[in-house]
Amino acid sequence: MSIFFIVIVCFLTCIGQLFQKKAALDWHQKKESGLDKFRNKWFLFALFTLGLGLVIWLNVLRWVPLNIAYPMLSLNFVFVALASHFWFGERACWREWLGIMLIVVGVVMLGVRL
Amino acid sequence: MAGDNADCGRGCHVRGALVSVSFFSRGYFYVGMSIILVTLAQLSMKWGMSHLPALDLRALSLVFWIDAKIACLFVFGGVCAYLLSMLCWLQALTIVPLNRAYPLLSMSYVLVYMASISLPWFHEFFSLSQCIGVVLITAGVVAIVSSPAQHLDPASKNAMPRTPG
Repeated sequence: MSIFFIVIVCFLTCIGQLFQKKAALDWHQKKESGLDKFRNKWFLFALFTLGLGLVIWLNVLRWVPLNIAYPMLSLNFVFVALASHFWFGERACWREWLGIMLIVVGVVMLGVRL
Repeated sequence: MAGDNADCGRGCHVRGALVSVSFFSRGYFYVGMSIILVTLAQLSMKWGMSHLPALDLRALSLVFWIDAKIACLFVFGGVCAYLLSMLCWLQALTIVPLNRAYPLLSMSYVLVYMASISLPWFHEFFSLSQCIGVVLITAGVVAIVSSPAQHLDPASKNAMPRTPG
């Protein structure tokens, strides 16, 4: 069951990042300033998804030890790269994929304690 | 690099010719600020939360909060740092592509780890596997930052003109 919630958190964080990117694009393109920046719908969506993710995450941490839960969150690096490929057409080249893989393995290593 | 062109498809032809996002560009400055702020937020909230007395009925009295004011201050400061880091992050995303900026956030894992083993009041210990983890993450970040720039990639429908400065 906690795996299910961890996946939900990954999903929400990933969506939150995409919304943040969308908000940043909007700010830039529409030259929004001051309070308008914070009334941007993508910004509000991002706040909502990241906030919801945080609440679920804090609950996950009550049942799952941090050193197991935290590395699983690093799957996000892969999800975000895939999602920004499909939604924003950001092409990652092989060196960036290599970097992402190294980071995922590194975060898992940080989580296990030998 | 000829190899890159073959690997990256259409976007790469422009890459060499047009821009290289310098490591010292404004975009990476915001990414860096965001990483530092998020790390400070983690450490400060961790310290604050672990020094906050358990919440029970005593929390109704003012004395409880006066006793716990330093811990509260750290938690509050941590949350503020989080919000600031989000603003820096949004600035960064107007310049650096998401798939390039996001992996760099993993440096905050490294910084939190370094801080927690070097600051005595977190009571964490050095371990070999974690050390290898730090090396792998750093290598990954270097691989990403040093790969050819693509933020003017016309294949990307959301490509943004580079802001001067």
